[in-house]
Amino acid sequence: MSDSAPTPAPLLRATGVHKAYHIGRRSIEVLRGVDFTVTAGDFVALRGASGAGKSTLLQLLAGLDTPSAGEIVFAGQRLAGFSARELTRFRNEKIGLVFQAYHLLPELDALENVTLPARIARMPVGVAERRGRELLDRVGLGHRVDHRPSELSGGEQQRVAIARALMKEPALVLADEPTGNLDSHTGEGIIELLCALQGERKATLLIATHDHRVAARAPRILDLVDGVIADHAG
Amino acid sequence: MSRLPFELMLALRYLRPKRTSVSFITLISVAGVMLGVAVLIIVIAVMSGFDRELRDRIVSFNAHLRIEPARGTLQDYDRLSAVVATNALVRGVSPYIIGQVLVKTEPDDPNVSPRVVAPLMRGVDPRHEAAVSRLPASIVAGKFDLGGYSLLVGRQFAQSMGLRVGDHLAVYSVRAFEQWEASRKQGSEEAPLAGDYTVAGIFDLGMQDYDARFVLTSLVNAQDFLGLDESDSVHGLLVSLHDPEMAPRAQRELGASLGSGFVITTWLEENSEILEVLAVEKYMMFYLLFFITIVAAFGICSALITFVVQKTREIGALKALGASGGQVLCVFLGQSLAVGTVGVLAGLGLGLVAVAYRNEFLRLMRRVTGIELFPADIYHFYGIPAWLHAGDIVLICGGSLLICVVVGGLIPAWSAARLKPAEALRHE
Repeated sequence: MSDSAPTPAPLLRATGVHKAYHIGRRSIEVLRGVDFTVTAGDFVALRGASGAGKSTLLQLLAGLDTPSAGEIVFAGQRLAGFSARELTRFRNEKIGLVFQAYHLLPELDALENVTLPARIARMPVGVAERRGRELLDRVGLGHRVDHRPSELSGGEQQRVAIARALMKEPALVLADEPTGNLDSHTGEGIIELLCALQGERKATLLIATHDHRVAARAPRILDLVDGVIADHAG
Repeated sequence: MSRLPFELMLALRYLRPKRTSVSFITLISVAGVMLGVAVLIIVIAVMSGFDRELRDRIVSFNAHLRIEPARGTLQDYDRLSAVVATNALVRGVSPYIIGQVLVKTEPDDPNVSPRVVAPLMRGVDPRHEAAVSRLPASIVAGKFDLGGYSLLVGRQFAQSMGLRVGDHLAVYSVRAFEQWEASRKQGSEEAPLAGDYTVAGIFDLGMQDYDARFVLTSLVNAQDFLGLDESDSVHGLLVSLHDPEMAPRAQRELGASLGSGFVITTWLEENSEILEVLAVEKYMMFYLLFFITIVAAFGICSALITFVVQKTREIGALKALGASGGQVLCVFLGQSLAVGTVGVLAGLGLGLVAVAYRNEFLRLMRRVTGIELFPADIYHFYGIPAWLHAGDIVLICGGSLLICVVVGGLIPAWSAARLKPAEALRHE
């Protein structure tokens, strides 16, 4: 009988994932057999140069796109087996996305942007509003709830986007170059916030970055080079 | 925070840009729909007004049903009138006699030549005439008096013959000419005798056919003049109904109760040609003018397609947050619905105001341009007739809204709903 602790079941597993884009007759293979697993509660950095395929991989993991080959399994379920409706629900309930370009809706204020995933899921408005205010408070923007994105700085917009990503308490938060559009000082603040929130909420966090300093904050780093993954413990 | 479903909230926000309360493109789209709906309402209301006015004028003289014997003249008309009057659909019954006569004016001035025409003479019973026609109420000069040898003539008849109330007319019956012809064949030269009638009143029913071609006299005079020898014989009965549209039913019921031997004709049958022309014109106008709304809907479509292209990355973000294709579809359909609703309501308001003040507008145009846009002597209307029918309004507003949503919104909304999230997020 072994005395070692049982290995926890992976939350996310990518096996032999390929992704190729076709431009006319040319085919560009961005991912060439990506294999890795992420366990619930992990904080992982996906490191790679610009154009290495980090965003592509994150889109595949979030169910926004389908791999050319290989499979992605989330909590024991193959994403390829999901119907369109199940995939939509998966994105809404299980995944929190933070984009480099924030992708806030300019017509909505901060609170409306944060509560959007909840409104999409038909959560009662009062419940969504209360939770949205709590999250904006937590990211330090409790006093800016009715400000539109154009009235916020880049760092503030990214904080709103982080609050939005956490709105439905997703099992997995995927952040794609969250500091890419920010100066180093503001970017540092965003990383601090993401680290703190990951610790508080025991969320699983996967950050894609080309910045070695950002990647260094994660206990585990996945290097994406030439379309394949090299795994390093932090 | 808005309590609206997020699709509608987003649709309404998209109609408002960042700095102004309403986008200029939205205003143009709304104006297009508004004009289309307003023009439809105005034109259809005026056409319905014409249609109704014409129907009123048709039945103002010939009632809703005409009952005639299949052969010969109608005897014992009082008894038959009583039977007809028992039908619940019937409002009034009156006998009539009709026949052609020759009329010659008798000018006081010997230098003025007499004028001769051959109008139709109708003999009416003054006691019952008001129940079947608008003749007693249409007297514009003199009075509705058929006592003695009195005649009522139409306004256009009076104008063409140079007649005034009190003037005398010599009236010859066709029977008198037939007798004259017969006497000539027998070698005798017995001249036909004219009846000496006085113009007691001039009527104006607003229909040239009636106002120029008919003279009216009492039933007794007509019986005598047109050769109906028995005092209880007439050519037929005119029947008015409580509801003119019930004429076919009344025709069936009276046909069953009176039995064979009678020909019953409805006003719809007698005037089917002109009524069909009016109906076809109205439907044609509906079809043609709905194209204005369709063009306006294409305006919405074009603006929305541009908007979808501009918002591609946001659509990608929405899908990344878990919005379904159906929800994205609803956002953009909601936009066309909002533009359509505002446009239709504004068009309805504009249309109703324009219909209400149509004659004031006509007077203003006459003052400004000096041109009579709606000459009364051609149309015989003293203002533009209009009638707003609830069914037409519902059809115009509902149809326009449907066109705005389907033609204006469906293609851009469908293209937005079909966007692949990863591709949309990469869109430059």
